[in-house]
Amino acid sequence: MAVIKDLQAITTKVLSSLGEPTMQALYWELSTQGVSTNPEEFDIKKFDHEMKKIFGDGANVFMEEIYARFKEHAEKEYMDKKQIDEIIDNNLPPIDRILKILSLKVTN
Amino acid sequence: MFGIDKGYSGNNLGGQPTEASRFPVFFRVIIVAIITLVALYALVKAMLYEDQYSLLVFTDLSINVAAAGALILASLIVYRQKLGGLHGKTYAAFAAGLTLWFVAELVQTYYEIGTEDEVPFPSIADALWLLGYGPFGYHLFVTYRFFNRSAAPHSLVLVSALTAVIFGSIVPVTILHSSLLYDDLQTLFVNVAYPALDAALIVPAIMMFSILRKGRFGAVPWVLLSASILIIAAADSAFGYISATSPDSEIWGFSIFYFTGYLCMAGALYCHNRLFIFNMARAMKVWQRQNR
Repeated sequence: MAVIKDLQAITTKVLSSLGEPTMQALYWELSTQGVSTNPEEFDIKKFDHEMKKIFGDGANVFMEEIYARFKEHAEKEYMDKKQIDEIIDNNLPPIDRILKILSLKVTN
Repeated sequence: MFGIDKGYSGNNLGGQPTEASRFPVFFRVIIVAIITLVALYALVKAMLYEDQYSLLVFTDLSINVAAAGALILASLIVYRQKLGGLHGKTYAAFAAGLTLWFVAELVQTYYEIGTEDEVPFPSIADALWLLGYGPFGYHLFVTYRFFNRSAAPHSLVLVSALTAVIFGSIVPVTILHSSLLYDDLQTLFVNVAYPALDAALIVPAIMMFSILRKGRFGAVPWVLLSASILIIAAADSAFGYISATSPDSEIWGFSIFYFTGYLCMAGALYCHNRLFIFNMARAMKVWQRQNR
């Protein structure tokens, strides 16, 4: 699915903000824990779970950034800003907000 | 990404975590190694206690070796990480800070062992040590700024207040005694600058530890880095306080703190090298082991 591919590409960009070798080390570690780095099999829920194991509360920084970029991308490519704003509760954890956008895309 | 996604659960670059601990095995090895080296250092110092010159040579050389070890690891990170991304920039700054501190240690060793004259205070070594706080501060504050959205509410206020109370009680005493003992402003400035700059570094170091403490990887380097800054800060403050209040006393005991501080820094840098920089050769080894 194109949307999962896009989400995986955004995730890669966010992780690369730490530096390319760190991103590769993190992807390696994630792959050893069963998180597929293959864009077609990418599971953001699993990714979130494993990132929390690696960074503790620090994982939220990455998830918030992934959500912000994914939302921006979704508004441009798949759906209206209004449509997204209606279903997103900003008090939810970033992973739940990302999943809501994904479910909205599937419904559309 | 590497085509080896499946079937590697529990075997990672950081070493295999056991059921009992969420930390990689090598982390415990590093802790044991640091404790052993510090114990050996203390033992040799106790044995050399009668021979003041040998004691001084041993102390200075040990600290230089520990600082050099940390500097080599920091340089290795810069070489492997390059300058891109958050870690690229912050670890380059860390290496710059360590270079300044290492040169300061060498200058201090020259003053203490290489010349017959009395060690000047403040000296070029002090200038280098104080300059080193800049890059270290950059490393800590920029990393903290990146992760600060994850900080628990009020924790920054709490850590800052606690640090201000502890260091706020040391600095005024140091200022008071220094101004009574010394006439020049330079000496007063240097005596106050150490604990003040230490306090400034402690806040982001503790905050980073509090953010990443629950993470299997994140916690490991930050436990050691925060410990190194706390140990060096405590030593600086106590050293400044004692030299201001009892300037004639012989201050030998503090070297163990600096030695331990550098060892903890080296440990933190080793952990970063191992956990946060991809190593293709090691990854291939793990892969081959799994596919035998």
